Amino acid sequence: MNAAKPKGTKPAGTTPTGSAEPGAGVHDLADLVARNEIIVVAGAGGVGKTTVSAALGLAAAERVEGDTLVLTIDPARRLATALGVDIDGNDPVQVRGGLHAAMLDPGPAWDDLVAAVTTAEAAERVHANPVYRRIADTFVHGNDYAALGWLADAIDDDRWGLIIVDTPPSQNALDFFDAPARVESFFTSPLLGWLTGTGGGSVVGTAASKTFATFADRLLGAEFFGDIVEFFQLMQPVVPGMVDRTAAVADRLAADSSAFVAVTAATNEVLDRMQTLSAELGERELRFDGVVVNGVEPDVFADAKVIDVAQRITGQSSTSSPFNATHTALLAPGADYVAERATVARAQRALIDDIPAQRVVTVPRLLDAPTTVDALEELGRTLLGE
Amino acid sequence: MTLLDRRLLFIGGKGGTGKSTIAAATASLAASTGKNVLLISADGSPGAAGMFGVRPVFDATEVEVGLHVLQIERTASLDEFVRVQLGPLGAVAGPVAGAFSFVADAAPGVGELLLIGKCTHEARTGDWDLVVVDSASSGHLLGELAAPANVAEIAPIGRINRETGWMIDMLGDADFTGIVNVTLAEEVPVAETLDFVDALHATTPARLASVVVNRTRPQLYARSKRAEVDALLTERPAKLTHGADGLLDAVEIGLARADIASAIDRQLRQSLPTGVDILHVPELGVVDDIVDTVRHAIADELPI
Repeated sequence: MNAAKPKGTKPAGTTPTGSAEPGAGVHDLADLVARNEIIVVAGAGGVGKTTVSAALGLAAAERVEGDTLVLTIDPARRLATALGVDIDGNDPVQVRGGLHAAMLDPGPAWDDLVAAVTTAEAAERVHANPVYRRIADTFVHGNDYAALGWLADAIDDDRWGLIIVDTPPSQNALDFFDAPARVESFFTSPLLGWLTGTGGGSVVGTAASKTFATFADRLLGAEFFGDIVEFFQLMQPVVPGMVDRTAAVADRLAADSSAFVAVTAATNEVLDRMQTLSAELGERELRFDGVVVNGVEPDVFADAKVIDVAQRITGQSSTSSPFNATHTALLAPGADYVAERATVARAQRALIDDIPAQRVVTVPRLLDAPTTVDALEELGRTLLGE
Repeated sequence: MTLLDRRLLFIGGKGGTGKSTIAAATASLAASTGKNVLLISADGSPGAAGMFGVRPVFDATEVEVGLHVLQIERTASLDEFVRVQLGPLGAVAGPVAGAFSFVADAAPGVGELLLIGKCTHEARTGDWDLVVVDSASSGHLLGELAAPANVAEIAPIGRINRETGWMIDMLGDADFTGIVNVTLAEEVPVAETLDFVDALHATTPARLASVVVNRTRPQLYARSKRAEVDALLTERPAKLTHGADGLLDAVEIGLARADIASAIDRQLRQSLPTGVDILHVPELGVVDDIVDTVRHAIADELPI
């Protein structure tokens, strides 16, 4: 990525993440897109995170210098559907103009990460191990780790003016940042040294190791157990380089030139989860620079005059209906519906007012999720306040 | 047979569809009919098991008459598995058992196998009339349901291999085990549901029992009235107030939402295998007790 990236829209003398105070009422993400090199999009599953990433990418691509890359590591692989393009493997594919997109394919990403930090010969031995071959999906947070390695490649590439990173759902969105430390502690565990005979006090051939082997045989079968031990032995020399490479990316995401955007739905349950995520970010001395609230009931359902008419039609209000008797009777089921949605619209607005972020963008509930480039562009314009 | 006649239900679906609420309401409904029910949260969060005012733990806790909840915790399941499998040896092994847990935790497929093992084990004990599992999102659930067969393949001998056989049989018995997919009456979720069903039947022994279309919107008007309403919305009376005009706009949005829901529902019905029930749970306004409200909505859809 281009470190000294001059961007036409970047206002001089501002802090990288903007200067708006909470409650200052900034309702778009335009300055975030202009001022940052990396935007990390986080949120619970199913709130439209991938769609927002794609829409933001489409809108940003026309406004930033250099190309824009949208990376999704969401295993559900919805970006392709949303953009209407087939994306295969880890290589970015041009969507349109300066916008490119890629989806994480964990297997090859692991291969690339191992290959980047060791000799071709050692990498080949690791790649051939049967346990390694199955690890991408099942290893402790293997996807987070593979994604960090993959992101390292994108950051190294000068062509990208802006990288938008779609993350896994929020139960583990921040696991992403902890992945290097977790992998390091896993591979340097004393238990593992004991097991593989690399920890100094090797017990291979002792009574304890025989007991262990007996257990392993009983539960796993000797061959499978042997593959596991070989896997750990092969990985030992590779791990320090992998940890360094991915830890550098995690640091980069925490730097001032990176911004965090949370996507949420306007429900109690989802907003609660976002508060948790926000608190966890705070523990890392990070914060959400922007929040996108999806699926908000349109303003017409929160309009006091509309709600009043609905109540007059349904008889909840003593004032008479503004429609004639026939139309009033005809509209009653519709007015019931409007009154019900009005309770939701008002509850949503109360929740949104309490969001502790500098920039809060609300996206009205759409009839259908945006699945075309046109619909995504329209959403992108909403996000940038246009 | 209806949904609650089965003994083990895995409730899955894409994130944001409300699968935890559906799982909680289904378990609570079954308990209200006199069954002894265990509700398991298996996606790493308190989920459905956490919706009854008690923080779920790895040991079953009774939260309503006949309804028990637990949350699967990876380390606890691994320890339990090692203890059960190694018997008396496990108790004396100390650090050796610790090292084993460490290796097993990293071994491919073992985590998924432990999760499925815990759910199937509970269903096999005979303690419960019904076990309801609030499962991980669609992709992970497929991996979990396929884990017994996958592990049997990579660990062709040994105790783990022998343990997988009965699990595969139990998952494959469609009268005993059912998969429930929770979706929304929207284009993308329904497309994902259909993909999930194909993959489920191609890669796992388990079979789809029901699809729950959550937060759906029933038609506001009978067909006979609809033309009249549409005419009023199109040819609006003159000099409407802002409020009255806005009301008509809002009703129009409601009608469009219901039309889309109906169209997608028809598409789902045509595409699902025969014998799969579709249950509808309506979109709700602001309600005090969502689990109880959804429980009644599910009860209305089931022939109990």
